[in-house]
Parts: sequence; structure tokens; C-alpha cells
Amino acid sequence: MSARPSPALTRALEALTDRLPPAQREALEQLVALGLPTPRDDAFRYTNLRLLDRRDLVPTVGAQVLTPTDLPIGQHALVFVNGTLDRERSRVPDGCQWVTEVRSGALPGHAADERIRLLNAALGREQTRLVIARNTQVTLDVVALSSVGGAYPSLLIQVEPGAELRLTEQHAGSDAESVTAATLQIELGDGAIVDHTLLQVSEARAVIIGDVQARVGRDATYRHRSAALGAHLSRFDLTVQLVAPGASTFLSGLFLADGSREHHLRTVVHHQAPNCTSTQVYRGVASERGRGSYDGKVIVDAGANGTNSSQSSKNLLLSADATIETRPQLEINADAVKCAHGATTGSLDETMLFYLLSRGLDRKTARAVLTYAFLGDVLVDFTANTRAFVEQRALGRLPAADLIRGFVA
Amino acid sequence: MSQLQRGDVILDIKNLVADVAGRNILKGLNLTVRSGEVHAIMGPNGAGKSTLSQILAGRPDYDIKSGTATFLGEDLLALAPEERARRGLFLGFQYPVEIPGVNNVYLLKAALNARRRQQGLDEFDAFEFMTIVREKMKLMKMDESFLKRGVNEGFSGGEKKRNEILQMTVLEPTLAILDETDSGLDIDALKVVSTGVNSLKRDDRAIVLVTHYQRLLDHIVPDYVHVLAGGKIIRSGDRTLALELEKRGYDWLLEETHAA
Repeated sequence: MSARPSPALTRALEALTDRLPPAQREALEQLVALGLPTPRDDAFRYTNLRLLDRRDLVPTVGAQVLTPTDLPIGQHALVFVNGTLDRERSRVPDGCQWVTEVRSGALPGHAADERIRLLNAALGREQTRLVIARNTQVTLDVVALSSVGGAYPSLLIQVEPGAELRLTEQHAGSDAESVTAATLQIELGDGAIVDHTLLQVSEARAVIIGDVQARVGRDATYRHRSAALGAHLSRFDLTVQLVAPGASTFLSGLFLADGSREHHLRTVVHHQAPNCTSTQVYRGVASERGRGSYDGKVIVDAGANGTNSSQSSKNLLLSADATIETRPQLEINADAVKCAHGATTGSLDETMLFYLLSRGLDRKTARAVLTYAFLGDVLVDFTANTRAFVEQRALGRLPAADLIRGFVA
Repeated sequence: MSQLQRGDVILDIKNLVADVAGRNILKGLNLTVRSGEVHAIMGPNGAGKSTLSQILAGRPDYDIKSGTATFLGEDLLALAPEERARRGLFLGFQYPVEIPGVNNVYLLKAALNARRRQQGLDEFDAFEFMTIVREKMKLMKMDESFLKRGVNEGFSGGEKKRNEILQMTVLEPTLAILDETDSGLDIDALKVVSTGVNSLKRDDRAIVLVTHYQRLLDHIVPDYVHVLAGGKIIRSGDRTLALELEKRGYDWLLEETHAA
């Protein structure tokens, strides 16, 4: 752990000190003493949050005019504007218990990978809790919109045994220097199913830091697919605990880091019980001066026999100045387990490129086509309503997008 | 480009010397291919047959040391691979490349329209294009599922070769170079592929078959047979040369050349 003073945190403390409830002021004071995580903290090895020094972390109060996104918001949605629930635009299905209240409860710990949660707890005023009742099926959108300053949405979802939740989470916002630090906790009861799509399509100057924690019960399934396409810097931490036999999780995602954009992802999948399954498929592309990382750890506890786990991280560099770092890690403390992992970072396949050129495609088109095709393994994971959206957004982030639309139709 | 007449020179290679990864593979190769002709280039493994095909298509990792190659009067070696393709040179790959996620038929449409733009012709719209593709697919006995798949994605060896020939029949190249198109084909697939190749034969086109075995030549009858060995054409003849090679192998010819 390293303490590096954060001017932004100090400024926030000065601005808010009289207005924060005691617990939150305590959290903020702790954070000021600790500093934000730096690349010297192992969990943030690839993510440098230094650019937050110059940003305003004070939460923005009151809704602003916001860029609408072109993914329609479904019938049932929780809409957060600058971290605060917009009650007029939010609609929850009948029969779902939910409450938005001032925060309470214990503060997160001090470790580097807990400090984003601490930041969220210190500066976010309210928290929304939602219960998906036993044996019901719910489709819900969560939309986090930010305009300027800090936004600290916090959501807890309890999915009772046998219930199914289809969750589409979208981060978007206007083109200002906003900072979002969001937390989402999902508890899956026995046999519950959660299908979670996370889309990060914020405008060019936003910083989005997200912390997702899922606790998966007996024979329950947590699916998570993500697309990091926007913002100046995005960082997501995804922790999945498989706590009872038969729990499974399927994680996949893609990022496109063009310009000087950065996308970082850290996953921790913790097999705590026997006969659990986890798979991870991640694809990243960086062009120009883009940066990205995948830092994925799988931990298998003693006694978690029959674990089946795989990790695949493949990355594509389209320019000499682009960088992607990938680190799949396995920590196995049980005997009867099947764990596989693979990671590659490279440039476009020359044999494929020559094949396309030999058919008369120009070099620019051929490269764009291959880049888009590289994401195919993950794109197929998106379901009907979000797939077209992600495809269009992904194409929009690639060079020569107009040349390649048809190839993948 | 004026209409080619039978006998016009399409490809003219003179004293071509080329290295691959510092190793000299082609050692002064000469070959002239005229409009309306079918040539077969045969030879033992490692003779440089595939190298020749790949160099003509413009693969970058070959080092041309000396010699010339002209295609329809232009310096072929100065053209980028895509420029060669648009001018009507087609290479049927020995190992067609799988490109998951890139639609097979859309690639073909883009390839055809790139060629048509070069020829100063209007691009085909989707309907015109599909009419042509369906007709050629019938010829190649390929089913509709090929339309939806990724380029060679999950194709069997035979399907890949058939897909190469489908591309060729749609693109109607002036010069088709088919690199070991017969390898890995059973007899039925060989017949289908041969039907596709024979459908291309015309007075204003030429075909070069690169093959190890003569059995392909029972189905696609060549006007000329060349033996490529040690980086050079060491013998040229008519199709009876191929039959003789079938009976006697290559060794006698290599020994004769060596003795001479």
C-alpha cells in the first residue's frame, strides 16, 4: 500500500467537510490519508489514476441536460443522474421491493482494491436496494448518466432463489470532465440466474470507475458481458465469488482503445465451493496511443474440487504507440481441478491480411475487417437487443468503419 | 484494356531469382503464358512451385533478387497484391486461410466490385451479385449455408478448395494460378473442382495449374506441362510429359538434367 496525496480528494474534503454526515466525512478523511491507488499497488498495476488530480470529485447535485443515448431504455429502469436516482424516470416492476435511502452500514476496507468502494461510500449520498422476488423473472435497465463533477451511484440487488434477472447497465454522459465511481453488488440465491450486460459508452472526457461484486449461490448462474467503448479512461473491477456447489459464471467483454483512450479491467473469480465453473473470454484492441489491460485472477480454495475454470485474453495492437497488458493468474489450492488460461497480444495476422489483399481488398479495408472480426468471439455473446448497438458503436470506434459494415452483416 | 486475342502474352517471366528467408528458391525461372492456354507446372516437393505462385500473387515475405515478370504488359513485381488481383490475377491458395467473423460472400462481393471498378464497370448491386453467386454455387455443388459462414471458417479441406474455385468462377480472372488445388480432394470433389476450372477456359484467359500429381490433368487438359525443379523449369512439353512423369517419377529427369 502506498500513500500518495490526492489534491482532488483534499479539495473535496475542504469543500464538503461541513456538509457530510459523520460516517462519510470519516470515510473521506481516511481516503485523504490513504490516497487513491497507484500503479505501485498490485491491483492497480496497469491503471494510473493520476489524471484525477486535476478533476473535481465533488458530487454534482441536481439533474443537468444530458446526452441521450441511442439504446432505448426499457420499460423498467433505474436511471441515475450524476449518481442520484432520478425517481421520475425510474420504473421498477410491480412486486419488486426497492428502496433508495441515505447510506448506512460499515465502511469498506482500506486495501487498494477496496478504495474505489470507499470513494463511492464517502462521496455518494444515497444507495438503492432492490429485491428480485423468489421465482420471478425481471428485466431491468440501469442507466448511469453523468454530466460534470463527481457521480457515485450505488446499487445492491438481491436475487432470491429461483429468480431470474436480465440486467442491462449503461454508463453514458455528456462531454465534460466527469468522474463516476459506481458500485454494484449482486447476491444470487440458490438456482438464481443473472444475465448482466455492461455498456460503457460515455463521451470522450469522462472517467468511469466501476466496482461490480457478485456472490453466486448453489446452482446459480451469473453471466456478465461488457463493452468498454467510450470515456477517456475506464476501469472496472469485477469480483465473482462462487460460494456454493454448482455455482457458475461466464464473463466476457471487449474494449476498443483508440486515440488516447484507456480501458482497464480487473477480474477476480473466487472458487470457494466444489463443482463450480467459471469461464472468461476477453478481447481488446488498442490503436493510436490507446492503452488497455486485462488483469484476471482465478482463486481456487482448498476443497473446491471439481472446479472447472478457463480464461482467455487476446489483444490486438494496431499501432506502435498502443499498449495492452494482460495478466491471467491462477491460484490453486485444490487437487481435482481443471483450469486453463491463455493470453496473447499481437498485431494483425499477416496470412489473413495477404489473403484479403489477394482478393482485391485495399489494405485499409482489409485491416479494418480483420480488426472487427477479431472481436467476433465476444460480439456473439451479446444478445439481440444490445448486439446491434454494440456492433454499431464498435464500428464507430474503428478506423474505416464505413468500409467494413457489410462484412459482418 | 483492349480485348485479348488468343495467343496474346498474359504473363512473361524472365530469369526470376528469389529468396525466402535468406535461402535461394527460384534460380532463374522463365515462363511465358499466352491467352487461351492452360499450363501445368509440376515438380517434386520443395522445387519452388508454391514459392512461384505466392510471388506472382504478391506475398510480401519473398525477396526478388533479379529477373522480371510482366502481366498484361505491366511490371507485375511493382504492383501491390490488391492491384494484381484487380487487374485479373487470381491465386487459388494451397491452404486457404480461415478468417472467422468475416462473411464469406461479402468478401466475394467486395472482391468482385473491386475488380469491376478497375475495369471501369458499374458495381453489382446485391441482387445482381447474388444471382451470379447462386449460379456458380450450383456449378460447384455448394449449398446455401456457405453464404452465411465466415471465410473458410470450419470448412473441411475439400470445402475450402471448392470455395477457392467458387471465388475464381465469380471473379473470372484473366490469369488463374491454382496452387495444389487438387490436394486433399476425393474423386467426386476433384470432378466438381475440375468442372469449375474448365468453365473458366476462354480465348481471352489463361490458367496455370501447379500440381504434384498428374490425376488433375485427366480432368483439366493442359496445353503445356513444365517441370519445375531446383528453382528452374527444367523441361517443357505437352500433356504426354505429365503421363511420362506419372509412370517414371521425377528422378530420371533430375538425373538427365544433372548429367547435362
